[in-house]
Amino acid sequence: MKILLLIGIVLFAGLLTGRVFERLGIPQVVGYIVFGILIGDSFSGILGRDLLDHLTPLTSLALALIGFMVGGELKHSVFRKYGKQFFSILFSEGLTAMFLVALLVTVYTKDLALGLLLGALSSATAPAATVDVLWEYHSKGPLTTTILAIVALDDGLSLILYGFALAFADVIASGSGLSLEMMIIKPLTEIALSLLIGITAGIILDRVLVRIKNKDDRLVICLGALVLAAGASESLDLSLILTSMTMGLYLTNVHPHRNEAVFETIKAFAPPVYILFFVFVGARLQIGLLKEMGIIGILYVLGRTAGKWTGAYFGATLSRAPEAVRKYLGFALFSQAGVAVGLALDAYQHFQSMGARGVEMGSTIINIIAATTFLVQIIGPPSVKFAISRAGEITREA
Amino acid sequence: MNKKTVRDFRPYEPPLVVGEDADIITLVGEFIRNPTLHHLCVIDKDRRLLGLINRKRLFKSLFLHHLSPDTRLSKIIGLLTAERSSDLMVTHLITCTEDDSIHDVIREMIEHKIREVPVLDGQERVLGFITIPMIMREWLEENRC
Repeated sequence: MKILLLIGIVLFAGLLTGRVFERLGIPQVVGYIVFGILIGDSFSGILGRDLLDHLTPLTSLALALIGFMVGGELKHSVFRKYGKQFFSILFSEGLTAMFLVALLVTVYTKDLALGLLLGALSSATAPAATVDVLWEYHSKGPLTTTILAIVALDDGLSLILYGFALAFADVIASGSGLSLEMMIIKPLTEIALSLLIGITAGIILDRVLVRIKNKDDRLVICLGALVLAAGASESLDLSLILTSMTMGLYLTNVHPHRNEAVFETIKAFAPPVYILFFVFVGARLQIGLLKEMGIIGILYVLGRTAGKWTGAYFGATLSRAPEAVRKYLGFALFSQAGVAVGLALDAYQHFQSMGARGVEMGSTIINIIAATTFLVQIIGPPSVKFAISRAGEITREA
Repeated sequence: MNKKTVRDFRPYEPPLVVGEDADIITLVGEFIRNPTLHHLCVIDKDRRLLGLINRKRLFKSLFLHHLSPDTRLSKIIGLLTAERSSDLMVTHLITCTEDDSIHDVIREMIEHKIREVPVLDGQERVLGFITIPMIMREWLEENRC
């Protein structure tokens, strides 16, 4: 089948499946992934591995868009009022989830690289499914505010943790010896260069956009700058997602009002790319491997759920947050979607060129994340409802 | 209208002004007092303009749950945690002075999709607003005969 025809079919059928799932009360993302599984190698084989490899640039574009939008949420004004409290909770829930997942997976598989990567991915939370529930019940109060802030910020934390984990995993997977240079200097250099490219691109885009009035030109320049920066990062074997995030972070903080239009422009362009991206992830999932990976998946969900809950509790206690936040925040942080799936696909692509072990690790990560996304996206929304209901923040019954 | 400046459009629409600590109830009350204006001016103790509060933005902050769930979270949090005028005001402003050409003002209004522009004096105090109906009234008078 011609690639263009296939993309057209995937866009329409993916959207349709997403909408059907939404009607059933399941987040659309799960629908896209299910459609991907149906047309992937696990079932019909319409979208096979060879074809998916040809479509890698589209995946990279989606990763750049995800990174950029995550960076755009890391706005200084979000911290202005409750900065200390948010930071304390954010680091506690993100790092505890990472630590527990990394520990459980590493002990079970004896593979530190895999443990670190899955741990880093576990700290992300899906905002869309969470906000849906808050809006449905017109939730209002300190817990609602904290949930929104944490889901906005922890994707950024996850991207940074992933940057470090990937660099360490590279060193471990390549078996090039665990010298100080390889364990510390190389990862730090890679991350610093990724950030540098992002900031430089952000500065240039910010200056150029002041002079551009035409709307069409602005779209081309915004998208062009993002693709250029992400492409440069990818070409230098750096993290394109960290570069994109830094670019978004710079633009949203330097001239927040002026650059608001940049994010609206990029956001308007993103939905079809996201649908393709999630369908591709589903198509890469190998159902046959799930049995083998079942235990790792269970450990991942257990470690992540326990880490999110206990981390949120301790972070909230440390920062003297209200009782409702302390007791119930953890329940509202179980959803996982875009960023975790995106990073899984990034890891998959990254390790393809690293021999049999790399390929195996990439496949394991993508299978674990895609499969667990089903589970946590289904238990996530009712948990959010439980949390806001117990905290007494529901102002309207659905 | 070719040679006209903003000054030729006097008297301006009188501005609604509040201090930077005004609460949400006060802000809503001010808008109800003058429903024709779309902006409230936030001023400091020397009456200098600090920022503008857009009526639509205030409305969104009152009925936040009707925003699309895929609205950017940083935007939602900004509206959700707003308690006073300084939390809601926009500081990236399009303003004009009395000596500006009316065509420059019209161009800014079209480019930035705004219906009224505050007119400032030399000390950055608000003299009033120049609005779309004021400009259209002038156009009508010129073109009717």
